[in-house]
Amino acid sequence: MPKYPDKVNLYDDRGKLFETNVPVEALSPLKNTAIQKIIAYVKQCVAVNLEGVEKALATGEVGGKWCIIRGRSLKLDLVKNAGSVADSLKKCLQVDPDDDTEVKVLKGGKHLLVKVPAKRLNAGVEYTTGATAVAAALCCTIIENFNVNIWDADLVHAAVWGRYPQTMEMLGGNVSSLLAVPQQNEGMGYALRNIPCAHIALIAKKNAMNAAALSSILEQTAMFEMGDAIGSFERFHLLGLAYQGLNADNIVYDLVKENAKTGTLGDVVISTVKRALSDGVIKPLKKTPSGYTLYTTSDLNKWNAYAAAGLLAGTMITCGAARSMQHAPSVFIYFNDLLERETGLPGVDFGRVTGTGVEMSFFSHSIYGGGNPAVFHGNHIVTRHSKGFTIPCVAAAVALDAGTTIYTPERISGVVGEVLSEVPELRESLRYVNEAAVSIKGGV
Amino acid sequence: MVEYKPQYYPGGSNVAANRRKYIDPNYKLRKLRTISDDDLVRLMGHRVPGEAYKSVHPPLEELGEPTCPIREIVEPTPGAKAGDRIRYIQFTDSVYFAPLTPYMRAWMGHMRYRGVDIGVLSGRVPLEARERDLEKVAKELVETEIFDPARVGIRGATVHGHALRLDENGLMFDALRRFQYDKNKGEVVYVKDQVGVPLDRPIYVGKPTPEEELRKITSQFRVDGEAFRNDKELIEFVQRIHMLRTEAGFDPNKVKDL
Amino acid sequence: MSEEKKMFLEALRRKFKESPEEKQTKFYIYDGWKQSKRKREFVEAAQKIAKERTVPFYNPDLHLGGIPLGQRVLMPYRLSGTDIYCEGDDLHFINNAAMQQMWHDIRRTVIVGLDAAHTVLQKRLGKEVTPETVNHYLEVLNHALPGAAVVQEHMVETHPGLVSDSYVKVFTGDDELADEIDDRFLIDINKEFPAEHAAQLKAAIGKRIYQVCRMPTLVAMTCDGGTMSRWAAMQISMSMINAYKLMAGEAAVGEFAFAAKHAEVIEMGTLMPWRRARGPNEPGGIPLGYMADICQASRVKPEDPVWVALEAISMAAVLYDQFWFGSYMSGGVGFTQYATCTYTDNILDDFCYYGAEYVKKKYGGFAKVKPSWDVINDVATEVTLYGLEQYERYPALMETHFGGSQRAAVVAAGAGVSVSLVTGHSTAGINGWYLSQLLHKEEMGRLGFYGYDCQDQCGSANSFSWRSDEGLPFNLRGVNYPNYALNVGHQSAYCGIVSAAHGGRGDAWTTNPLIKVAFADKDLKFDFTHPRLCFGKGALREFMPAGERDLIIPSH
Repeated sequence: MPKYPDKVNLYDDRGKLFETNVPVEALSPLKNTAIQKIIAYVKQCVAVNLEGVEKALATGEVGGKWCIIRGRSLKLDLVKNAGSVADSLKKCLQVDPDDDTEVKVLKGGKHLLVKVPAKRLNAGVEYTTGATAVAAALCCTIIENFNVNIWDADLVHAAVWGRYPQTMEMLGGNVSSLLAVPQQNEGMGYALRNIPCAHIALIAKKNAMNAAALSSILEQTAMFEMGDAIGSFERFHLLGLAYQGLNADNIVYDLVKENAKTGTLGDVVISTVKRALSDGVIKPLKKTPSGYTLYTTSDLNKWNAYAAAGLLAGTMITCGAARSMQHAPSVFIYFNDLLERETGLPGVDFGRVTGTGVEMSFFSHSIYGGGNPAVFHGNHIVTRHSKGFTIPCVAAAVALDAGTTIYTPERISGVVGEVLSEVPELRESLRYVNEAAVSIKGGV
Repeated sequence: MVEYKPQYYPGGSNVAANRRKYIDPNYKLRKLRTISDDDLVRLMGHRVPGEAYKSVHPPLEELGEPTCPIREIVEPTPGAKAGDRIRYIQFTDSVYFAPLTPYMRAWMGHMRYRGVDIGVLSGRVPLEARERDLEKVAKELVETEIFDPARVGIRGATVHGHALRLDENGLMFDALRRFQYDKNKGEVVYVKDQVGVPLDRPIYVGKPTPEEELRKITSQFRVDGEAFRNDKELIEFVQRIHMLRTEAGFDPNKVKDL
Repeated sequence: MSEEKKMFLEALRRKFKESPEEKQTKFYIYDGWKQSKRKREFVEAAQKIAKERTVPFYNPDLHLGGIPLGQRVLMPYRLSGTDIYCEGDDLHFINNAAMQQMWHDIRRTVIVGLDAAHTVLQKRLGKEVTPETVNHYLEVLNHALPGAAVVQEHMVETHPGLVSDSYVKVFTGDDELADEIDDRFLIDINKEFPAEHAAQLKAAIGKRIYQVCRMPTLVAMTCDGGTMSRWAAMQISMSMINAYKLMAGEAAVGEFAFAAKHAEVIEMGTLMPWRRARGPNEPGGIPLGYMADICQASRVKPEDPVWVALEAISMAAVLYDQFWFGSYMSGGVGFTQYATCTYTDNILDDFCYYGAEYVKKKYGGFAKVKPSWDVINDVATEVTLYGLEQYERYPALMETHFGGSQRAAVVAAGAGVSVSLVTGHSTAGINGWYLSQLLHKEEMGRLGFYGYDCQDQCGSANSFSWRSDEGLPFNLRGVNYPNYALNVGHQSAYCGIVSAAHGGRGDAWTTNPLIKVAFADKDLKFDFTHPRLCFGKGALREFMPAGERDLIIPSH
């Protein structure tokens, strides 16, 4: 029996009905098998820049910017032999011959997409196993296949692992995971929040709906891991994931469509209020002497989810019309300011999105800055305040940008976003999560 | 569904009514002056009048957009279509009865204009947009009742002045003295552009609005004008939002029908 | 607050030499930077240095391509609660030795329990521990802690003249034990605290005995906060070996080291996460309640919790806003202008005393009512409106706090302190602060700098949250609390909000009794009972700090 009474209609990224009356818990990270697979793939899938390794070895430029070790180089034809490297790497990583290990050669051997077998991760407690296993196996492969001698093996280590272990992370290395090392997490349970929106936008191949969906899945799953989506707060996050991230009841798409040609951010606010009223989520409370109507709700969690869907739609309208990501933080503040003043009800995440927008506008626009929205993620003192409701909008904004920044998503992401876009469940998460929800809807 | 009409802003005071009016996109801002397109371009200083718009990326048609259902339905602004750079206009509004306050610029701007990026600080408000879109928006912001030549400044950097006393001519302080009071004409004239680069010829922006008129049209509460203390409805509104946010932070399930 | 009682008017008259009510003035006539004695001094010094070093140096004429600072009055500042006036430059921490010393005195302190070491001595090593042996040990440690050898036979040591401010003292809640400790080593709770406070502290501490170790200021200046517990632990362990004639290397000694370095240590601050990584005893890890306890104003005027809170606020402004955010976090010249608003010109004093009078009159005194929406709304709104109206009545006041962040901090501080006073509940106090910020935004239609109000927008929802990384009693929050981790102009007053809640209740401490006692120490260089006066002395160049290097550098 579902814990919560909520049922939603599922839609695809183009507003087409997929299934009706699905319990919202079928979209929960605790139950939805596609979400679980996505999270598993985030841990298991690792990108290798084989061309990078080859260049590093050839030049002795290893371990970070401008570190060029004089007198050290190794000429190995890794890209040319990518097929055999991949085969050896796979064998090295496999636990059983028929397990789920995969190594895919991409871009003519320049890149590898590696899926580390689940058994390796299950045998430990840390998600870093994905990156460490691949880096170690790649070193083994290169040293063995290319007969690297005792005097040169350290250079192979540096070309693969970067400056680690002098640094905490693989600085200047050529193996990358979506997940940063645990020391870089802001707090407990933040691992899934530490993925820059540049990666997300590229994984989704700049489909804004899928970028928002993947980002929402990662952020809201992190809420379970952080200890936020539990007890009194579980439904709050589930509804947020469903309505904002996964286009439940087609609200996001409808609101965008309604304002697609000429709408302003303010128009999206008005459309959001109208929708909440027509769906009975909010109702008038009283009229003040000036004639202003205060609204109320008997389901604040649902109001929040509607508002969050409106926020994403507002981002898509504003950043979509301008084809620019930089507008996102302004949307976060003023969508909520206008919504609160329109209704007398609290904005998304009860002020936390507004706060995040305030700080993000500062950091993306001023001398204290931390870059354009593509570098932002939920694991930062600028962005962590909102619990899953801001970053999906940032991911969508990044996806909608037509090239207004110098540090583009491609430049920020390096190879990891492009390589991981080869994983269908990550690239088209909305479709896979919907399918999984339908398959389990009777059993939640 | 209950009848719904957008209401934009709460509050029972004249100031609140003015805020409501300016935010409401159906209210047409009164045009008070004409600034030629070229003069506006010179004031902003992003390009030389007549010069073609510079691009940050190729036009969307040439670029070939990724497959995205949102891009397919959301119409890009003319500037976005053309690949214009994103540029800005920035205003400083004096605390002494200027028509707008910084947040009003954001609330109003996002309600009225599409594809704008507005930031708010205590003394200044940058509005960024694709360059040709920006020029259209800027025109309305400078030519209408919400721009007072003496108590609103167009300033890119070294913006300060909003909280300082007015000078002997009633003008807001400006360390760069971008604008001056022409006593002979009784008008305010810009001699430098937004960032303080001298203009090749001055740009007149009109007479300062009389104090009495400013007090009528302002969206600023002041104890020596209309005091916030007297707009109980608005105070209670803010208290309500704070209470609802706080209670929701404690437990959203307990916030029912409040 | 009646007109004649307004505390900021005197400073405003001196700052502008015009009526504070005047709405118009003249600008652009003040001869730029030359109007300032301090800037003239800077120019003179810079010109001399530029000649010596050949690289161009400070030149205010480069400002804005030739339009110098000082197109308006470069106003002086009055240190609140004092009669000291100075220039703004004198309140930059680089220019103020008292500010530096306050931070060094905090950073170079660790508290280390002695009882565990005594248990090791008695149970594991069969040694007798008596007041006499404790006194002997303390004498040895006072030799060793500054950097002297106690066991080795060939060892370099530090020059006593360079480390003269390094020492160890002890305190206990046990009067009998305290009587037997040599007065030179004792922080005497009975002597240092008002009787009521002393009783509370002794009851909390009981028979336990704690060492307060002060490492040399020079160490604080050249190493980092993480050094302190290590330095102390090394010298403590060595002194134990010496004083109790132990074998230097037997396993039991490892227990001393463990006790001194880890198990029995109280650091002033905990370490920080990766993005803003710093070791222990750095400002980012010091909770608000610790800062409130480090301030010792409550020993001087316990009957005036407003004054106590204002003194604590000044310390927090310097530590959190000027040092931490203004330097550690942001880099650059710093945030002095943001921070000084809370401790200059008696402006915040006026707002807080207004709030105190209001709650006394309406609620019959401090800490007389429990938190409720009625009380928070009433008090926070009234004090906010009062504060905002002062800016509107007195243009000189508005011009003094010419940045919105200054006004936002000071108005909300008045509201937060007042709610703390009336409820005796610091989390209610901070909730009052957040209401104030929302009211301020709506009233003025403006608030602070670009990123100012992140925490104020999140604040309502997070003040009484009990979720993973949101919930925490306000006393234990600090600048590593997520919402507070990145911007200036809040934490100074936050410390006062903690202070006021407990001051209103008549508490001897806010958060940690050991820290309260550890800083009740007249031998510290900085006077923690009168921080604002001390900063003023620093501004006037009348404060003598520690850590000077004259002994080892050429005469100059």
